[in-house]
Amino acid sequence: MLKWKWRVVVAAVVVAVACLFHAPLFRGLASPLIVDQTTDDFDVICLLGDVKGPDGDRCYDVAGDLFPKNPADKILIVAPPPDRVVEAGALPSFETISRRELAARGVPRESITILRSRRLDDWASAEALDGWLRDHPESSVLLLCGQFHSARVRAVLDDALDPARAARVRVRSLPDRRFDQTNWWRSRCGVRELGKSWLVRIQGWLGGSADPPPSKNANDYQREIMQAWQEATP
Amino acid sequence: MSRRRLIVGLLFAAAVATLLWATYPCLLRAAARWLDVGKPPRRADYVMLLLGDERTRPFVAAALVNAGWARRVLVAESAPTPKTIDQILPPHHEIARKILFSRGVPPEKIVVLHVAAATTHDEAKALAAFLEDRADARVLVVTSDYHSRRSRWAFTRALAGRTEGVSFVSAPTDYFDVDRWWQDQWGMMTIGSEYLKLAFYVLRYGYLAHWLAACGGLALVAVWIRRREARLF
Repeated sequence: MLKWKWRVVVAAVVVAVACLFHAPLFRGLASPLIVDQTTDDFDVICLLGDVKGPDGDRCYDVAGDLFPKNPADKILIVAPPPDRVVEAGALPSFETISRRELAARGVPRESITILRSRRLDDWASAEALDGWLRDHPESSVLLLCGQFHSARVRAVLDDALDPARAARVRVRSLPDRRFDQTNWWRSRCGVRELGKSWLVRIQGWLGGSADPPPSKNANDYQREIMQAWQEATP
Repeated sequence: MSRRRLIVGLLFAAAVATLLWATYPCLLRAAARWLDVGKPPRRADYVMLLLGDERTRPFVAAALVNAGWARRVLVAESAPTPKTIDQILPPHHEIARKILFSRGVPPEKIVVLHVAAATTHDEAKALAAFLEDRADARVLVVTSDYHSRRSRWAFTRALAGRTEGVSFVSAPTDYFDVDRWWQDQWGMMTIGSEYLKLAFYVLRYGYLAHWLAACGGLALVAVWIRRREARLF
């Protein structure tokens, strides 16, 4: 009985400490997801993107601000392969969006270089950047990405790139306007983003990268669904 | 006494770890399949297209309308996000509408429900409001395969007893291999976060009675284990 009382007391103390110090605990939970290597020592800015648009809130604003300070006048866009949504004309490609947004911020068209990644993940983006770095041995890159995505990007770069080339890439993390490391637990989108970022981080530690199945165009996708329904319907 | 207990505990833990290691691909595959509760379509009046995952869901909704399974598509208006506020991307419902149109669904067959939907729960409430004066309407809810279980859960609660006319059709995910989802960045983000969201929904929108029943059940199991241990050692 006494043993149980002690257990309850210990549990109560642990809960009280967790409540009192929840802010540093939650900040600590986000820390392993963040790398910020902000530097002035770069001559190329690099932007990443996926089907949900650019990675990093206000990345075009930041790129537009940094561009005049950038002596090589170059912005790299790592563009994912086009998907059904882009092919259907429902959404401009990441390349089109980036060109439009950067032009609106005074970046001339000829300063933008598009790198095509062969699939939609961080490993393919790192491979595309690796190819460019190999062809431009004098360049150093500042890569802009979302705050909770930055450690993952850094880890993938360190893993996929030759150490000398990886050292030429610095990662600048961009916090979301709705939340950051100091208050993510106060908003639903912050919690969601942290959860997803941790999952992707864990996936990087455990599984590495698997090739996705070949992408289907809209007609093939719909034909396969109809076929499956016909087979399943008595 | 306590040494014997320690050895039994260690052996048990080793057996569980070995079993898990040997079967984890099957377990993880089953975990992904468990999320899919979609059924083949049946004749309906409306298709409710849930927002998000535009690579799959709108194409399935368009196929249903074009094949004559349903007459009209319902889409909830999406809540603004930083990217839509900055006009970098169009809102989700606009993307869905454009895909439906590009796949041959005429604009007059697309009904936008005017709510600022940010979650599946919001969409479920929007459908419940829409069906208030259409009690006999039959609806096919189209969503991604991994999202169908949580959607069914949310819609069942929001529609409270008016679910016989509502069925769920899954849009198959094909941008990662569902049989190896844990090895893929998108797979992990999609399936892993779906489990987190499912847990959140049960916590946030679950019934108090269910929680009391679950806690009572856990207490009974704990008492049973303690009594069993006391008998064994």
